[in-house]
Amino acid sequence: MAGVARTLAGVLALASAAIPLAGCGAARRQPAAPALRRVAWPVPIPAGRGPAFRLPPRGAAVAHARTVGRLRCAAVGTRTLAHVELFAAGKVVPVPPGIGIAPPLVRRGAYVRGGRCSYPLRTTEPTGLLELRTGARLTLGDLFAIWGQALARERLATFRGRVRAYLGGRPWARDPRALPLSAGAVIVLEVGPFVPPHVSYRYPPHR
Amino acid sequence: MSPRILCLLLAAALLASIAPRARADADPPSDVLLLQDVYYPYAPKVSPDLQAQLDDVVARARRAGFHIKVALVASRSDLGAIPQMMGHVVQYADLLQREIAYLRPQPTLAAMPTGFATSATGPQGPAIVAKLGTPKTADGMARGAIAAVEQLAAANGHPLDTSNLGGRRVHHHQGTPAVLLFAPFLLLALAVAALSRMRRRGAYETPSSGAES
Repeated sequence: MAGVARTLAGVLALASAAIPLAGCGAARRQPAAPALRRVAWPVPIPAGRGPAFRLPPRGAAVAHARTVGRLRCAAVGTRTLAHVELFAAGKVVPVPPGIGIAPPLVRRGAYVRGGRCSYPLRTTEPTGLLELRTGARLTLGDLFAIWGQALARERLATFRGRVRAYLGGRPWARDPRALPLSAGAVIVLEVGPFVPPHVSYRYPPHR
Repeated sequence: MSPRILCLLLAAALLASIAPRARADADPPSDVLLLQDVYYPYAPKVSPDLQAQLDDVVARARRAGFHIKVALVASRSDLGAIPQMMGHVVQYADLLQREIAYLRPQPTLAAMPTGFATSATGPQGPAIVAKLGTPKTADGMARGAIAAVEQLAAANGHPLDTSNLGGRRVHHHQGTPAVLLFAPFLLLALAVAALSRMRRRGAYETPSSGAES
């Protein structure tokens, strides 16, 4: 019984330590921060470095503004937003700007401001924000086809292994290529170590 | 099941319910700062002049050997999947630094309407940004960041020449010195005066010179 009591005491000690430890390394500096509340602090996940993570924004078809499947390069049109985040080997796989935009690209720093023409799905910034042409019926398979990268149950771009897909934080059990891209969709794809997927994304104001 | 195991299971369940759920980050600054040195907010926008000045001071710091990354976060939209970090600039600076660091700590400055914070900027970093107060506006964040980068660079042994930042002299808001502002007019007036004097002198001298010849 004494052992049980010791274990319980340990449990309580750990539990009482859990709250301050949750913001570990954070409350040591500037006074400008408001009082610490119960906030779900995210875990920092660094971006992957090296060629496997540095993916070009387009394949040969988009480079020449050719039709990709049923997707044609045309004027921009009105767009809605979705978000995709990729993880592999426990690191972020950056989604480059300029996916779905045929060159020559108009660049400004990390952003792409335009190009020869745009596909119904494109990225203009490196944040995973997807611009979807209003009314187009698109899937995650379309994104990877335009991007020129592989996507299958066992393949995510340059990474091999079982691909886990999440839509709004919920597991997507079917082929990841079939996952629908709709306005406000929040998608996470992972290969390798599990990263708790986020369920929502605060989109920027209408642009 | 032994009581000890039962207690351990209970402990795990209790901890899981008490500890905040840690999810992956998906904040725009951590992505953008991999490709450039300053993240500007979606809205409200920072004025182009201040953007040029901030880009310039960060570039000068980099050339001087102090490579700092700056994130101006004006609203929850700038935090993407982690809007709960809004208002927690100290924690965010630390998180961002760990997201973008590669091989060694990455000096980072974060700004929110509630204030400024630094990470990996040396022992004087917190004291420097504490003096900047609360910027309130996006332009205020940019102005504060310009001052902070200059001071942080100096504190880390890399003093910067901040004259003519972004192609203009700004950051003390003293404007252009009057002598420089009026210099063209002054020169023009002097030239006109000299010309008219020469003409007058010519008008008087020509007959006499003719008479001499």
